Amino acid sequence: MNRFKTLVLREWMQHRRGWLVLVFLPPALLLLLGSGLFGRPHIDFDGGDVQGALPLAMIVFALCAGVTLVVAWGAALLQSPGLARRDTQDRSIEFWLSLPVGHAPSVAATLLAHLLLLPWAALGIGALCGVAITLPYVAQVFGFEAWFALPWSTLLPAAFAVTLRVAFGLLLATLWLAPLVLLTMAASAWLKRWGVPLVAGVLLIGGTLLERVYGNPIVWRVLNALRLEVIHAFVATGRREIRIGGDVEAMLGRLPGWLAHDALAALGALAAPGFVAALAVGALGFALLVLRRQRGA
Amino acid sequence: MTSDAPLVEARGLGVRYGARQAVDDVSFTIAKGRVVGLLGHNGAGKTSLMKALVGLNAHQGTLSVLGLEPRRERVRLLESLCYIPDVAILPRWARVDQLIRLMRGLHPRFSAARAEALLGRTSVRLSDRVRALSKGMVVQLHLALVAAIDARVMVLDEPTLGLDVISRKSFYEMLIDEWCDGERSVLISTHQVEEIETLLSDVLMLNEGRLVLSISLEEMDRRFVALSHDPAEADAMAAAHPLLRYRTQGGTAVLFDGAPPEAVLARGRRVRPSLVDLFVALTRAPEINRS
Repeated sequence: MNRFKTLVLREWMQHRRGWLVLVFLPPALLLLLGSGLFGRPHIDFDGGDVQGALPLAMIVFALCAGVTLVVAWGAALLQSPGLARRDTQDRSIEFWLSLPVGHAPSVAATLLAHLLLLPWAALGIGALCGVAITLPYVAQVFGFEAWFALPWSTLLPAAFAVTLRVAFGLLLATLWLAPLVLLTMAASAWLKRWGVPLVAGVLLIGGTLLERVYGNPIVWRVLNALRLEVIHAFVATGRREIRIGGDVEAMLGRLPGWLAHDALAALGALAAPGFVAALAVGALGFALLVLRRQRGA
Repeated sequence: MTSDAPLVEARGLGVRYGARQAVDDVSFTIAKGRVVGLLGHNGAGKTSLMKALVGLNAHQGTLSVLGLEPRRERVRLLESLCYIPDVAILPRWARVDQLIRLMRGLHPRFSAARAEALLGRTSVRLSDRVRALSKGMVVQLHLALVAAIDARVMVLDEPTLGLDVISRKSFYEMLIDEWCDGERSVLISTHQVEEIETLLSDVLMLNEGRLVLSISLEEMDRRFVALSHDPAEADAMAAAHPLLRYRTQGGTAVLFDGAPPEAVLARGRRVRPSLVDLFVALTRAPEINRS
């Protein structure tokens, strides 16, 4: 376990500069926007100005946490094919292979750090910063008193519950995306620069051929199903069951319970053949990555 | 594994890349406390053999390193065997203190205090980044990291390639002074044969994947005879079918495998054959190698 933690530490040591920029840039930009340097903040919501300090605080919090997460997660997913060849490209692979560490833990630590720990950290930092930068936004529009008068005993538990729910959704979404991400990484590891174009080409050309020549749109259906499952990982029970409006504070009070129910629904959705297939294809991609590393690259 | 058992034992060892046989039917042992030179031309199979020893290449035949099967038990093996595969392969983004921290977490027999002590004798500082170090400093850093591992076997593949003479000397001094203790063994491949000849206790010579010589240096001195002679005696010497005829300072010499005929012996002065001459003799003459 200590060795695995050290492998994760290695990822932090190697990538911390980029990671820190990724997770602190969105909150910093939002803070700058809310500082009043570019005029008074003005947020439209459903075609009208936000009425009340609480909805504004909720929007700023969600914006900060959400944007920070999306930026970090998106960057991690985009960079994942390159990770498969990182140690080969800088020639350090032989050093890592000379250490008493298994190939599978080495690959797993990289995946864990980039695909889960980084987005989780981004979410946590985005959420914390989100709470803090509600101050300039609310203070400019409604005054400092309004910020202090926010129902913090309801708002903070709700914010915490949302953060936990999104973190859980991120885990599920990553598992659903594992086939695409890991197969692309494996293709990159084995075929170098041709890996990503090949996966994209096979999906695009294969999907088009199957649909137009054989009338079988299975590739598009699978990709669409994956897209829906990723969305369901974050919101499983549908938007119709929760409405923003009316008594916002009361809604916030009910939010943790609803989110727990929603998380259970998302968990229950994993008991499906599609998820088993996704895991199996993801495991194949992982095995190909380990095999490539075993062969010294 | 008993205390007298060889640390490395290979029987009919082969390494194949597709259709190409990189190492072919190689058998040897390395006992404890030996410093073994692995010599061979480029492409002779040295790196392939070393990678097989550390479990990074699949192999045919029987191979036991520290009583373990390297490919199957690589992680356990690398806890007691350290390996420097090539120069300048340390991650360039890392600082020296970060590498020490990583080694401490990844290697159960690594001593951070010892690594820092060894580095204290070099010009490498803990705050230096690898990418800011010269090639020689990187090699010294790598050796300091590896020498801080309480291992029983060290495998070094061309560790001083591309280094200047001072850096090479520092490297070998650190290796012999700080790591070799009479119990541990080193297998080292290099093209700078003359520089390491005095360090070696044994030598393995590979030619086109086959082992053409596995011998201790004491036995080498007994078995191979070099005779320095006047140019006028060249024909007589050649008639005795030496392994090699070569020039020495101020004359020529011949090298024999075993004692030459008495008549030939009387025509020259016996000199110590150098490892380089023997290497050239054994890897240049395929008709001899095949025997």
